[in-house]
Amino acid sequence: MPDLSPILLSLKLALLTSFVLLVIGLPIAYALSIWKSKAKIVVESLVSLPIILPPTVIGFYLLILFSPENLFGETLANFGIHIPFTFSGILIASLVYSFPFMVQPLQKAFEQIPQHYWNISYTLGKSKFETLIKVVLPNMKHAILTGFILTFAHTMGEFGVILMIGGNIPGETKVASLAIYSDLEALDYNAAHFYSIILLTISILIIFMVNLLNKDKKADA
Amino acid sequence: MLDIHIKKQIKSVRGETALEVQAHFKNEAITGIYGNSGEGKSTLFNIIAGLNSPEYGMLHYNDLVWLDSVKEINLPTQKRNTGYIFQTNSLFPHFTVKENILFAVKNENQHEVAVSKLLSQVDMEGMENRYPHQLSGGQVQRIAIARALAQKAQIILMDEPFSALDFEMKQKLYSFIKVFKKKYNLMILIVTHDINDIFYLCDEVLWIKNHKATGTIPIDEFKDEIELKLRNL
Repeated sequence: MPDLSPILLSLKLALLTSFVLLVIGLPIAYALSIWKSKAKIVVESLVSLPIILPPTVIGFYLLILFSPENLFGETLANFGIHIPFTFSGILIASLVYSFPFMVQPLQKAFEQIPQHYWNISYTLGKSKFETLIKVVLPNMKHAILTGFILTFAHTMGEFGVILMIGGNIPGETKVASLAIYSDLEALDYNAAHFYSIILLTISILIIFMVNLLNKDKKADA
Repeated sequence: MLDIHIKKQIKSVRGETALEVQAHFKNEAITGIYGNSGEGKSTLFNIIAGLNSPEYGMLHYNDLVWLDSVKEINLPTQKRNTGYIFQTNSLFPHFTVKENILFAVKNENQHEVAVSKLLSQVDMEGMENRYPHQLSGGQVQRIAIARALAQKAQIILMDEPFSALDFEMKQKLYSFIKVFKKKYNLMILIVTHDINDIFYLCDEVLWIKNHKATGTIPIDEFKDEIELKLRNL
């Protein structure tokens, strides 16, 4: 029986990334949805950049940023914070790499909420925050779930960016996709199959869930 | 009564222009806000509800100052207690009818609201657990009115409430609003570009022409003006 820790590490990383990005992504997506400026296109392009940027490039620059050889990394190191080749490092890399997969569906959903939902709620005496929690977010539950699932799936499959900043340290940064690569290099095809089948099953389940959500959304409409 | 005197820059098809309205709306009356598309009717409603602010403005409701641009007073929407009913989607789709009505009531007072009684007042008994998509356009508007009742709204603002309804549904809603106004002595303002809505429902009319309106006119005067206009065509 192959070691289960890479699978558990991948699940932990994917879940943490999805939760943290949901919390960070909601205010950013909202701000982008209401922002009316010519500079918006620049910020939106930056948000989308990780989709087309090679993961190794993201990993490389994150490695440079957090390296103790540089001012920022050195300052963190003085506070006892070490990012490269740790779980925190691969979590930060995942947050950057999967950022657009959370923010884009949320921004689109905020833009599709009719302005008069906000207005009716205000005339009924509700504050902006109350309106957001009780009216707006429940009406974009499909987008929230889609963003969460896509981010989760994307993180489960990460390889290059994790290899760059995390190395391949068992129990710390060796996630399932890296385990497949290591086992293949060691010609241990059974272990590679084991991890691959688990990732394949998770991917099929995720695609099924996204399609189910889209079907529900169409039925609601 | 509601006294309004506002000036606001708005965008029209001919570029930027000023919406200027001076009027006095009576309590216990249905007043139609009439004008062509793009005249600024909905902007005027948003200013009354506090959703939009004019560059210059004064808005008094009974003895309360809602807006005074000189004294920098601008009462927030949440404190104006206006019931706002839109053309479509006046209800929140994720709430049932009952939840939509209770949303208008403060949490601590929710137990005092008899939703079923309110629903019977708008001829919608037994609809508590339906969702808006399970109702017709006219039923949605009636539930929105029940919500305004639960909210104890002082003024009801209806923005093109009939435009998405068929003829029969319109007739039903016209009669309903007339009975409802008499029963609760409410001030109802209706934005419309359809003269039939005005003829059937309104006591007075504020006619916005070229983005300007000064004072309301009685319904008979409005009818005469429309007739004259038609004769001159």
